Amino acid sequence: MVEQRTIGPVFAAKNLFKSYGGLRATDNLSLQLETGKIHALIGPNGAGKTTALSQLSGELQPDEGQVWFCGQDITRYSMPKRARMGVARSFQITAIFDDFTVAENVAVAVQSRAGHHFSFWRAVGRDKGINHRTNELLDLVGLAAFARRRAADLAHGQKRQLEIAMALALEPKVLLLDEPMAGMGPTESTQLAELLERLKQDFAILLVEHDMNIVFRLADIISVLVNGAVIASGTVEDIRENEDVQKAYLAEGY
Amino acid sequence: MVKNFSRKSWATLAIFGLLALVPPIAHAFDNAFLITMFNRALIYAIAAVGLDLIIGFGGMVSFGHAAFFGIGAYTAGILGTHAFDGSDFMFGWTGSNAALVVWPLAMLVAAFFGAIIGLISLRTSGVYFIMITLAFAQLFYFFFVSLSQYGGEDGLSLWDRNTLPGLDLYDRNTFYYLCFAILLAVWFFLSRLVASRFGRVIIGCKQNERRMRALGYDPLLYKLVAFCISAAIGGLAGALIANHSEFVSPGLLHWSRSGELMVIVILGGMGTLIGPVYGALALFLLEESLVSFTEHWQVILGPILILVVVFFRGGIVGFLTGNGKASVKSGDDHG
Repeated sequence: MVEQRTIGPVFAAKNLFKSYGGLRATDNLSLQLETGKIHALIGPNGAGKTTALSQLSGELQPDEGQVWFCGQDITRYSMPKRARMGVARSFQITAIFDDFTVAENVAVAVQSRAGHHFSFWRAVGRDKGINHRTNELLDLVGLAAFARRRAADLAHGQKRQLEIAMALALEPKVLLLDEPMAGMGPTESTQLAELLERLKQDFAILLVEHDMNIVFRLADIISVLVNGAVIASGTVEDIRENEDVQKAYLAEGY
Repeated sequence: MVKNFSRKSWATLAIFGLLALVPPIAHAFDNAFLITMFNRALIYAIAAVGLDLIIGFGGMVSFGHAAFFGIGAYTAGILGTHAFDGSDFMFGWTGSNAALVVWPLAMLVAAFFGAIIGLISLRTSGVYFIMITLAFAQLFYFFFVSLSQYGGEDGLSLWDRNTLPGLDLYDRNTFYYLCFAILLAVWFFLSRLVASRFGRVIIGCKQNERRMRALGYDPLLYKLVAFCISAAIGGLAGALIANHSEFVSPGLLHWSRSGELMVIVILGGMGTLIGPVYGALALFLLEESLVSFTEHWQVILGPILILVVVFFRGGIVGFLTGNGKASVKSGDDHG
């Protein structure tokens, strides 16, 4: 990672709007991500968290508003282009390559960074550079022992870990994580939380998450999304004590 | 894995060994015509191995591959006609009969039209992709039917086979082994390709395009290049079939020909590359043996195909390697 002490946000969304017919899925959403901080985006089901994340990652275009990355307006950039620049995302519903081995899943992500995709002749499986980096990442997320296993045969929690490894392989500056703990058991969640704590100094992280314990433990800043709009944003203490939030969200039994 | 790999290697060695022995066996039985018949299967195998790249590895089920086959054949036919009568083809060029000019050109022209067809049809997927590629193939079919300058519906004779320095392409053995060498080269090139960085990208696109985009890949670009490579190989096979039959007609582009190529890939085992070689040979042997029972041999072929698809999803090679899924990266969708 290039050591850069950017002052201020490395990634920012400014006044995003997105509507589907009459439904306002994103309503004047603004948020900022800073290197070394975890910004959690919480909200009840249907609040528009994934829609927001898709606009940040470039999969969806906002109707209005801008997305900025490292001082550059990237609103019109596609998801692949943003990924190559350093904005990596994970998916709420596990998205891995089922027929690849665990190592191949990570390797194809490492290759995205390494380039030379129009190399037709040399065997990628024997590429020392790619294999070395792949093994590093598998060690990091604790999947080294499963490298040769077919990805589809992994346990659910392991698949989530694999997704994290693939996102990290892009050597991003920004990590957009869509409910990385979804479907994980308590032990696995804790392990992943520990991993994110270790990683966070190098990345600007947006964490969309349902598990409030995890959010309160990890987040530096929390934004609460209700009906597509941010109704509150602040530190863990601010959000815990905010009455609007309690009414709109926490009272629902989370 | 290792065991499967070696079984697949045996299957590869066996079929290539068998094909290499066809001419001596044919001569031993004093039936040189067998060589000509097997040669046809070889040429179809070349096109089908190329098709397997996009169907089995890229997940692009092209139902219009006969278009490239036909385009390659017509390239050879049209250039040969001008070379024969010395008339002007284009800009004062009177065509050519040299294989080293005509065959690469057949590949280039096929790749060019592959790029155009691919650019449009690769924006769709699934059934829409199948239908659009079919529609394009029909377009080319009717184009050549109405191309009265070059025989229209009746087709076009190739007065001379193409020439290659030091080789006599009229010689049965020479032409057979030349096609065999080309099949080996195409198979080897594609085997390397699917294990390369590019190969991994197209296999990834087949499995999960959205994930590939999130990883920074633009799937269209890679799929298009794979589609063009496949088209070029189809064009090369077309130029060879033109030389083989010394005749070119719109029949080469008929939709049933596209179907035949797909059948070869599925029957042999898609996503294996060697499968289509088995498939081409099997289809050819089935055709030859069933035709002796009834001229409506396709009535028997149909049910056989259905049985293969239902019971041997990995095709012949999947069966031989004891792996119903044929290969980890094959066309099994794990539904």
